[in-house]
Amino acid sequence: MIRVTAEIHDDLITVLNKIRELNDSGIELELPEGSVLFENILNLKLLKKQVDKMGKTLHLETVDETGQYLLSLLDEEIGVGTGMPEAVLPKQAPTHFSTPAAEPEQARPKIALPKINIKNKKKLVLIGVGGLAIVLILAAVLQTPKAYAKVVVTSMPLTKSITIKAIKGTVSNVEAKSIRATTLSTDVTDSVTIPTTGTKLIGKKAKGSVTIYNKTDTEKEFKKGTVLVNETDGNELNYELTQTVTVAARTPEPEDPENPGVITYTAGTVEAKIESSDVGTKYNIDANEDLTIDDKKSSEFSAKTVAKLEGGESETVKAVADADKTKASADLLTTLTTKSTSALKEKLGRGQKLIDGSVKVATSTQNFDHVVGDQADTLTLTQTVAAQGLTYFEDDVARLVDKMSDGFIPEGFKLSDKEKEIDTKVLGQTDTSVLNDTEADLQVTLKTFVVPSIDEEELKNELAGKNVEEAKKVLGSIQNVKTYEFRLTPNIPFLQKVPKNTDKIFVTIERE
Amino acid sequence: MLNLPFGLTKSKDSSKFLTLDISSEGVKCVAFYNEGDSNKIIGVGKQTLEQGAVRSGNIIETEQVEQAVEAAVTQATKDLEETIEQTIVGVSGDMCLGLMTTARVVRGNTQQVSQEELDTLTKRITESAFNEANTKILQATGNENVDLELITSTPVYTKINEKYTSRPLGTTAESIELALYCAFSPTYHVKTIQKIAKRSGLSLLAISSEMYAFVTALKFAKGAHLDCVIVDMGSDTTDIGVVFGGGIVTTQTLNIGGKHFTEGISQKMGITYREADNIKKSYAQGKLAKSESLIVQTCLQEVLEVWLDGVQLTFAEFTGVKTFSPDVYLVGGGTQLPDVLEILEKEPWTHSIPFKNPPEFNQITMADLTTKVSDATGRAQFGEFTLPAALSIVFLEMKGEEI
Repeated sequence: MIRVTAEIHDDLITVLNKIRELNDSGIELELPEGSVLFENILNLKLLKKQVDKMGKTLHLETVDETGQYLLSLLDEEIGVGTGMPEAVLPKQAPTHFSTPAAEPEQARPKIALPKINIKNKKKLVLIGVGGLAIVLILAAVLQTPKAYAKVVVTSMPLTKSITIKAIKGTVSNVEAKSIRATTLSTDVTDSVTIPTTGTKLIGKKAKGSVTIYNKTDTEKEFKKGTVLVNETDGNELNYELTQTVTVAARTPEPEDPENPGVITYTAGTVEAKIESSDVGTKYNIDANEDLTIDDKKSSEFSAKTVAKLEGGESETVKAVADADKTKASADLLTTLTTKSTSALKEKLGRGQKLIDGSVKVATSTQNFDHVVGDQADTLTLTQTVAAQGLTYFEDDVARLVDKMSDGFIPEGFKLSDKEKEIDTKVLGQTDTSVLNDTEADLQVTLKTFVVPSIDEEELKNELAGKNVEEAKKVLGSIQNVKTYEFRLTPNIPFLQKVPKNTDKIFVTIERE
Repeated sequence: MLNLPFGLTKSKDSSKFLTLDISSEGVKCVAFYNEGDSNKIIGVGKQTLEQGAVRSGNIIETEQVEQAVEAAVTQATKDLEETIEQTIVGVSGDMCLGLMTTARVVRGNTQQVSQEELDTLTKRITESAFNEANTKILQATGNENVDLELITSTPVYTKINEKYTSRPLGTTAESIELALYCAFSPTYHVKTIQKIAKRSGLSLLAISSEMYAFVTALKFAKGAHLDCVIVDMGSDTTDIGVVFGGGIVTTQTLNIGGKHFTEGISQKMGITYREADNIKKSYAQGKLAKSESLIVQTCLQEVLEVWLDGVQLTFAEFTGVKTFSPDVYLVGGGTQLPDVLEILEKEPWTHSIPFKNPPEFNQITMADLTTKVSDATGRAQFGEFTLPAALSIVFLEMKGEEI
């Protein structure tokens, strides 16, 4: 038989390849602790089947505790009992598995004791028994009897989900399924710059001079700002006087001898400077263009351009629109709400949780760098908000769940103090749940294990004074217990009673 | 309705998400766009891993896997305008144990069935499933100290007075029978996935059994009350699931998968693992010359025979199953090798397995999932992306779509 040692990561195919390469028909394969073959018992079953097919015998050894257990299962299955120990062997004791044939049982060595010839054997036996009794009594007296009971209980997973309320200004209350909530507040400042979307016309006004005609008998003063209108093709162009002028009354001409009795007049005139009311090239009208004077009849007063008006020009530029202010406010509010949540979270104490969705912000100050209509490519808003959010403490949730848990633990069980997991989720504002700045509904999910409830002191009292059989009956009658162990020390055959002093009884409860 | 019991968040404003499949071969990532009751693949990514970084689904080298996840996600999302954080991670192999547990209650009255009553029954079944899972783990691994986490729990069927019903609430019943599928994963594995997701900047929507997601997706093509056997050959494991009435009854894992075929080629041809992997893929896609194919077939033969014996043994492990459906569906990158289908069909191994009728073996591809998953990239058609694509069904369930 040849001995082969597998590597820890050698999988089934690799091990089979190693075996195939060997000429020997008997293989002793050592599988190291943690061998990947122990990940699935099918590996071992298939290994056996393949080696069978090769016509070889296989002898497996391992110090791996799990491996030993699997080999024992395999051994039970195929009915090879040669030298196989208990299902689980002590650690470091190599286990073997033979196939296809069992190893021949080796003859046990015999030990020959020297024979002693004693004439009065009966007397010697009596002395021996008496001596042994004295030794045992002495041992019992010297060593106080103690009882050890170990109970292994099976835990069961428990998942429970309940809805609770976090309410500002209250204390935790089991009946109301509520915990206290507190408000946390902070100020946050930020700014946003956005491109403007409005447009504006800018440019220069047209300027020039007009002659104003007065066709009345009285002089007339026209103040600066008086509007003059030129109408061309139905379009009216407005101009304003840039100076105050007075135009003299009309004057009669000397009588014409050929037309006696007919009087003719010469209109009074004055030259005045004007400029257009708005910007643009369209105001650059030509010379001798007629203008009417604000609300005055043209039969009484009129005007004409002296020369072509000049200087009128225009262009469209970007400007701040009302919608830009609205957008900047909305954008910044979104940013500030997010930043406020982060800022509030930074202020949280240990175990304190901010309730998502409860954060509310209110604007304290805001400042735009332009007003609506200003020529500008961008608009910047700087804003400060006061934020506040609702918070709760994880400890409050845990305490409330603990107090409420009595209601959903199966009878005869209690909550395990290990592996407790509490998950809290905010339900939000819906038709059936509430979320505002004073109250929030929370869904709390408890994931834990429950273990059989065993009162150690009560168990000790029940065991006290019992004999071994009675004690085992007590332990065996406990509900929901998987296994138990019981032993007395010292183990004296005729002193098999559990001490009455419960201090000498030691109970261990193990959760599996 | 699918129940995903721990630490899950549900994005309300995004319809894009990722699925991740982590195996010993590498990390596969598929990006999706949800279109109401179906999902569209909008990106795929794959990053190989060093050998040993993941074994039988078990993450050994966390940092390496983390880097591979980031690389696969980057590949899958490189053509998109935004990053995607919502992620569903699949679990399979030794890291996932799925089983169906049934409970029947004779009520002795004809009162209406209430939600509370169903909840209580579900709770009891879950507890029972938990105990059964622990027992199975102990039987398979000998380890009694594995903490398990429930990762998927969903009703398979409900019977009122011996008749199937989808709406038990409010009906009058003398008896209720409820079957629940529960999938468990070791707690340490779940925590490792959560850690990797967090470090990679991903928001973990769910950790789901890949077998469950695949069967759920398959039901749209094959019928809601599907009876079948699923053989999912991953890179280093083969998961076998028994499906009855549309529900997974039980699963077993065999620790042989596609990488062992690659290793067989590598050793026999004296080439590196990567070279062997390329040759295996070319062979699977029919791109090798006939003479080259013959060499590859020879290299595969030994592992194939061991694998088939393993499959036979695995079927024998389903002690609670009296007869198996003759419809056997193959999925996973490993089953792309034509020899796998060939050996399953030719060998007389099925004689010892109680199939109802002579079994028929069929390969499942993306085309079988198109009712709920479509591929807009054209890059997910190769079989290796079928499982991560099927994982997207979990997103639909989380959205509350009727599955």
